[in-house]
Amino acid sequence: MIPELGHLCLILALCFSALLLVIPPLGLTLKRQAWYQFAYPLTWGLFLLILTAFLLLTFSFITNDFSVAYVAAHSNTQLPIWYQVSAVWSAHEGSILMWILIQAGWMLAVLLNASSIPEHMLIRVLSILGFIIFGFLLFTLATSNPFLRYLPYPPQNGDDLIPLLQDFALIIHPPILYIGYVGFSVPFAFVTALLIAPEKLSNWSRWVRPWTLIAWAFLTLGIALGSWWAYYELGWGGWWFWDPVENASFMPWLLGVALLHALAIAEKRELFAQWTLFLGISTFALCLLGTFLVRSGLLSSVHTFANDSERGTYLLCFLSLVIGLAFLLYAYRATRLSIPKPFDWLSTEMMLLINNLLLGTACFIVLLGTLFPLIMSSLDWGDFSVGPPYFNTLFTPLTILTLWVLGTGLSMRWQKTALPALLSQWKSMIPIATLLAAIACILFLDHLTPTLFLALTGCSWVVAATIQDITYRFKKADKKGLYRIRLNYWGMHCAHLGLVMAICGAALTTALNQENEVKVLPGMITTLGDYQFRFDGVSRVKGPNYQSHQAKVTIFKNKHQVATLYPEKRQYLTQTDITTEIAIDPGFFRDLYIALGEPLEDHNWTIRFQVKPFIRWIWLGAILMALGALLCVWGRKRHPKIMQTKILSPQI
Amino acid sequence: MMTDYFFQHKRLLLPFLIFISLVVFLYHQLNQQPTTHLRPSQVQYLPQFELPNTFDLQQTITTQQILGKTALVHIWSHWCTECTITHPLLMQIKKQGYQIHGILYRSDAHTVKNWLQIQGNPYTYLILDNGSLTTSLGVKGTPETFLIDATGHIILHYRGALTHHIWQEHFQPMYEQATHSTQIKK
Repeated sequence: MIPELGHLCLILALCFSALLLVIPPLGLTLKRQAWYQFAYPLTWGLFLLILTAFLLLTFSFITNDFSVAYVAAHSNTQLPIWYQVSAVWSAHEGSILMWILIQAGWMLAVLLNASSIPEHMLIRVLSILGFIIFGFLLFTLATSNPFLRYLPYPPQNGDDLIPLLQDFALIIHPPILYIGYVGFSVPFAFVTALLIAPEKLSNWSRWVRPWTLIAWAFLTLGIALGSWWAYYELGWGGWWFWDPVENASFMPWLLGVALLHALAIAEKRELFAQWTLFLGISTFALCLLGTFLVRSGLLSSVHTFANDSERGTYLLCFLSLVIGLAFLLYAYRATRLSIPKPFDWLSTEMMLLINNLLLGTACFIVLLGTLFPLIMSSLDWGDFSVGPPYFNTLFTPLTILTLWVLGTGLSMRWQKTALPALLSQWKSMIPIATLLAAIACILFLDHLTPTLFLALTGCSWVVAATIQDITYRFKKADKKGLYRIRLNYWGMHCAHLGLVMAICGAALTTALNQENEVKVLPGMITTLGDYQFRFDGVSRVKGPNYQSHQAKVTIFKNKHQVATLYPEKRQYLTQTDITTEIAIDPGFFRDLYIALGEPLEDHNWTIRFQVKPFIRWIWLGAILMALGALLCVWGRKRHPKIMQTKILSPQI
Repeated sequence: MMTDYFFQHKRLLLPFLIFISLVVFLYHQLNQQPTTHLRPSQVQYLPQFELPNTFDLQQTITTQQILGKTALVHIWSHWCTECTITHPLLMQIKKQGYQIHGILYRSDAHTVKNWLQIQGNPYTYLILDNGSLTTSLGVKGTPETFLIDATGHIILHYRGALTHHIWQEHFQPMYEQATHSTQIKK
């Protein structure tokens, strides 16, 4: 009964979204208020129905209703309750349902925070989002319904959740990532709405920017969580794999950064309208493309879902309909939005333009690398897999270049920077940057490679530019007081420093990583860098739904005990595969990382020790970036002055 | 008048055109998959394994049990609709006296047992695998079919649902040939 109720909720939601898609736009055309204001109750209704469906599915999981096929395939009576809940979104059907729930949540959020947006724009945005949610609801009901029953032979017990997914980060990684992923549908809807009914570009960017920032912040956090999970769960200490699914989330992230900066120009200077709109559409297009690539099984990866070509075909048709229409509309209407305005070579505009080009190129590189195996096999040139070497070779120079452009851009002014002013700024920036770079290089002199050197100097340049900019601001704000500096100003610097921190972390981890795989007997000591690892033997441990071999390793530095770690090999009772539970002693400057290998004869074991310096900086940097983006949103809310501008008549 | 501002700037159509060609390419890929995926296997021999028997989870099946005779190895899952399409064909092949083994990928043994009782069982051995064997075989998705000879050497590898045509055109002659050469060696 409960699953059928959930099914019914989804069908009703489909009807609601169909109404939302048709009636409000019709109301706008016919100028009937009752019709177009119908969008509001419909949005509420959609959200509540989908929330109910989602909760009902969760209920089926908690009550172990194995007559539901999806529950039987992904849960088990022995599974702890929090994993039973997270199992809801652990596979294809449930995660698509969560996608839809989040989409409805975003729609409601837009509706509730729309005081400054003109009504016709809001209605159009809701209606376009209604179209997207309609597509996904239809997808769920037609090809991946989580409420299907397993009758007439329901199993006694479920298949259990895949052990790799029984983990804290995996409880929160998908929801957070999806909030970001789905969130880019909001800027997309705003872009389309703008193309249908033109508005003043600066006003429009003011409405879109907070949504883009929030979506991007969550995407950043989601990607970082995924990377953190891969680091401690997959057992070999990598933090980025250039796996097709990672790439699928990384591409919208890159274009999202470009979009954020393009929106900044659009708001301040009403420039690059076409480019901004193009980015808005493309970012969401890449979100959908990523979903398609992952769910259709065209590319295989750690994240592979149950494949089904029907799903792929549906998603591709939906993708081409939504994005194709948007691009067609773009081709038809975007001409009327461009207002050429002069700006100098030495200006923030120019720097942001270069930043956008770099990010666009980076995104293209990732896209090409991801699709390359498909292109090659379609030309019958054999099986190719594009691995880290391709991405690293092309990505490293781009990243370093971006750092230099970022630092330089921070010292520029809008429209035109006077050369003497610029040079005087650089005069104070260069010593700071040199000092920082020198300290960094001396610290890591033993491992200094050209790449590391360039990365460190690039990072120093950005930090110097930030310091310079903040002191300049302080001097200017002297009389009025520092509290007048807006929060979004701090947000910007916070995000930029986060990027620097993440890049520093990535560069240093790559350059300074030390690892050793050894065969050990109890009592043996292995030395790695400054650390001694003592292997104290293996014991058997029983968990709630698994048995494991647990090793004990004591770590010393200069004869002082630093940590005791317990890496494991787990055998889950209901599954046949064995998972490696690595053990980490985390630290701000280094992680000690141990993975237990295979048992050999006579209590011998293989074991892998790693010292990974600065690896935490990657994720801390990501958190700073997300925090920076959220500060920008908050700053805008706290200073309603930014939000209030005269709503001018549309410029056509 | 209207045509004037219909697509005034042709370059603005560029994103649309690029996007559409990408979609066409992906659509092509999606449908091409089954027919272009007869390939020389990258793995030369059936790897060593010891995995549970689907029909009796207490027992295991090892590589040695599989070897000794030419056989088809069909990799499938109960949740994969394409795999079930192949089922009647496999039954037919089995009736003609060919040997078929199955690797059941991430599936529920109980369901499959029930299902095979109703539909008939073409498999001599049905190995339950959660990914270790399939990964070492280089399997990308289900269903896939391998042809192995008596020594475990992989002769053919086909990605996608096996069709009557592919069976008769490629697998059957190779199967006969492999059986023949094994007999000569003996």
